[in-house]
Amino acid sequence: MKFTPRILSENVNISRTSPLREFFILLGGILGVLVAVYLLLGFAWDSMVDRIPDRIDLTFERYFGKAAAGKGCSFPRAEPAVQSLLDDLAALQWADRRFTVRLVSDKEVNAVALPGDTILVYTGLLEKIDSENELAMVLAHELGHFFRRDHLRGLGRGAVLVILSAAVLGGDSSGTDLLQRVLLTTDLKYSRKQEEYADKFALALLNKKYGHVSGATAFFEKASRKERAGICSRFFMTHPLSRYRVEALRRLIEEQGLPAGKLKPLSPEMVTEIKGVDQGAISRDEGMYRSHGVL
Amino acid sequence: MGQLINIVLMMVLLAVAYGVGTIVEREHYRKILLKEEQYLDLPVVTSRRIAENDDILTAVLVSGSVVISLDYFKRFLAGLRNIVGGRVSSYETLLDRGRREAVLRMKQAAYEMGADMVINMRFERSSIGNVTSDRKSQIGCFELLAYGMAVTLKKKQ
Repeated sequence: MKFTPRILSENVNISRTSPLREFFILLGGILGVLVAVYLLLGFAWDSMVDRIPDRIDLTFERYFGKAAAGKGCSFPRAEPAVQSLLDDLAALQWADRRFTVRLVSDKEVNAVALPGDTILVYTGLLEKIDSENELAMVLAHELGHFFRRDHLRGLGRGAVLVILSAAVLGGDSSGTDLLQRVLLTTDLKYSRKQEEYADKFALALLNKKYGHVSGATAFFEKASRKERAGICSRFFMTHPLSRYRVEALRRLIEEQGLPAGKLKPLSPEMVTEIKGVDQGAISRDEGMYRSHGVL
Repeated sequence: MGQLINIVLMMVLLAVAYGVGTIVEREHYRKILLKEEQYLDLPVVTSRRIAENDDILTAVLVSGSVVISLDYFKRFLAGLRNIVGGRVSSYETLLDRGRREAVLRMKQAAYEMGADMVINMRFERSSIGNVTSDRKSQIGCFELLAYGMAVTLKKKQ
């Protein structure tokens, strides 16, 4: 046997693909699939929420509502007054659904809709309100979110994202943990579209109650003025600029030819208890619910 | 915010690892080709016996080993492959280099003792130093060992 030394002309043991190309193709492909699955499941969840009959009241919603509503009442005269306004508004839309409103002593200018048909209204917001119509607009906006079950939509999508992250990164990775904390609380944000719908709903309800829509934009106008003065990053995160909402509302009023009318002043019970009340710091779990209020 | 910083850091690391890793690999291959040419005349076979068995004068065990580590970019690419499946081409060059380097070192040892050929060559591989990232332990270092019998033959007339 003769031995002839020879060098191989090319390396048979490696692949000819460029690692960079492979990197981008794989990463892009995997991310693309994840995004597609997320969108698909989110869309399916959304359509399912649309189809829940109005009469169904989910148990876990009631649990949340009870947790929130269980606090003592610090405004024994103002709260029932606001409650009765809410009841009037709700009765115009739902035959047998009851919402609860709680007033919270805090200088934050916001109102929050919680699962379980509960609305929290901060005294900071009440201080800025000058007429009953404005308050009705705010409450009706929250009712609009309930009407469309917006909090459920957000919760479902969040769950999908957490499940995907757990599947890819692992159940105990820091990414999954972060997503879980951000998405699976009721610290929900509503999309711009959802806010638009809620505003539209509120406008119609306001019209139904008073026969006119004066006062609809007043509160948001005040808010937009404040926004120009100081850029609160918090505000930017949770809602479209109030200025745009005012414009959108005005456009709607014009398109539908909704009438104007006389503003009804706030009832005296609300005024005496709210204006000039001491607004301390807000408690921890109420802070968690803040970002999906009217603002 | 913290998560965003993590992602940016990872991207930077990937870019650095890719850049440096490519340069290192190219350099290594260059050296390997040079050495292979140098030791081209020393045959290495995997057969346990050679035809002229009684011509063997001396026989000594020789071995060559090398420890090679993956760079972060290669590991990340392999991780992506683990999800999709298929050839993990990023590991291929690493193992190829390791094998050839180990054989070359063995050849060098054989050459220095004046051997004519190396017979019964075998490969061994072991992983050293598990690298843990994100609670999943991934193997980062390989030790490749090539060993065989270096023999000197009776000179033919």
